[in-house]
Amino acid sequence: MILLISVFFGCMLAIAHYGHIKTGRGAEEYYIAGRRVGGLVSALTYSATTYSAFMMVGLVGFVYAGGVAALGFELTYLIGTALLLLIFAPRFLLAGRKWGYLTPTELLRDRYQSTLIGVIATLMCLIFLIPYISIQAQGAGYLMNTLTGGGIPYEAGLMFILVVIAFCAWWGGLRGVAWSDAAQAFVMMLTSVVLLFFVVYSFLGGWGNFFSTLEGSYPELLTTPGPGGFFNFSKFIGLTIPWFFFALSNPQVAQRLFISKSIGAAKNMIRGFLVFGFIYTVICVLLGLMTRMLYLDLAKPDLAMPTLLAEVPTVLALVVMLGILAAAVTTADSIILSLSSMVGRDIYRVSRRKTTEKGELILGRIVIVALAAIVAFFAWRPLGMIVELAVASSAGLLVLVPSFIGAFFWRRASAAGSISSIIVGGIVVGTLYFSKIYPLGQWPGVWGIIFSTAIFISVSLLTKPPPKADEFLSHLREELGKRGIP
Amino acid sequence: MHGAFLFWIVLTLLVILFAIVLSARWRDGR
Repeated sequence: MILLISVFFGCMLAIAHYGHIKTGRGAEEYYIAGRRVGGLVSALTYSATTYSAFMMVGLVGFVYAGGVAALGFELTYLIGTALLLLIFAPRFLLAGRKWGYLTPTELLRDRYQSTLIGVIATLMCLIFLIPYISIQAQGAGYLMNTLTGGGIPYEAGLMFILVVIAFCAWWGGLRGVAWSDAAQAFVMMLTSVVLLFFVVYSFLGGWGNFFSTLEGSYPELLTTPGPGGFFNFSKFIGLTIPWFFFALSNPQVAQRLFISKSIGAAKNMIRGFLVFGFIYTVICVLLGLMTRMLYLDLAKPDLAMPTLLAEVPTVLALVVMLGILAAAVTTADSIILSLSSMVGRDIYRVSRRKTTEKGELILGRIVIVALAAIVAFFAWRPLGMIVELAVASSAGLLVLVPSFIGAFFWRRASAAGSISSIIVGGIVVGTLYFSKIYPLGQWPGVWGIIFSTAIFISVSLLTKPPPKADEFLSHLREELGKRGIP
Repeated sequence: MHGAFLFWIVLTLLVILFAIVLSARWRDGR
């Protein structure tokens, strides 16, 4: 058991090391692999980064509790991402090439000509993404602890997984992370497929029997708002809106829009991701429906997958656990690497002191280690339900969305508009989440996007747009036109 | 299968198809 985990992650560290060997000098090489990643690896690293351990644990639990509405929730994310990638992937790629952006926040900073935006947006990402990484590490620790029957203590599992995460990011850079992500994406998909077929044929008497029993005996799983009214409308909207904009709001995925080696590679990244995402989502949802049919009265929805794994053969449970651990690691190492690049680029490099790229890289590596230590601290103490915490982070980052949309589509968008929308929106979301106040029954993310959009527009109209706006927009218009991109 | 299930599956597949078709016209410049 411990051997299997060690061998698996040993392979991942070896891949990260290979990435390290292939990485040249400089921040562009380290953080975005020199903008030379092919379509397949881009698609797999995007998929592995965006799909975390949430899918096989949180989403399965969500389907267990809420039925088909959870499918709608997760597929709305996929639909949103498809549309956002179609619009923004080529724009990020071309802008990144022209002006050398390494981080999404650097794009905002340069487009709005304001160093303050980069600093604020980076701090915002640190505040909201550290809990998100903590959840992944915490989930991994619990999973190893549960499935080894306490053989691996929670704290030991947590520390082990954090060492893997920090090593991949610190040593491998983006190339190491992307390649190990690609390998782990295969493991995530393969293990979930094997589990699905095993459960269908061993526990539920085949597909025909599964679907007929589902329709005949559990019709409430196939209707909204689901069993016991779990998914009421405002909960659905409150959970779904932050995830709809995830591709723009979360730097670890937005940064991946800079890495493709060409427009053709970006196109293949989008297509590959959509196919992966659709299949993986449907698998997790079907597993969720199956757990509801098998176990009716679990204390917490998040227990659905661990309960199922306790009943399948040990070897299968171990292999599936590796798939879930892989999902956690690939998300967490990408976030840590992105955050370190943002601290180096958008805080350190813009400080008044004389800075160098070498210093930026050294600082970035220190940040990786520091983040791992902070995450260890947070994950040491138990947190609440996995899904809601993950959503709290994407709700907080939602306030960056108006600034990104404005950057590409609104000449009048100004730095003051962007800064005020991020600060006020962030305060609104944070206050509502911590005070647990849901005005008019709507969730914090909904109020966050409403406030930040309104403030972004009104303050921009009252202030002057930066001189860069015209150059930025006209260059992109011309370059997109040459490439047949609307 | 039930309507809500099919609705989400079909809607998503249509959006994916849309993305594939729309991006088919993209080409590398120069």
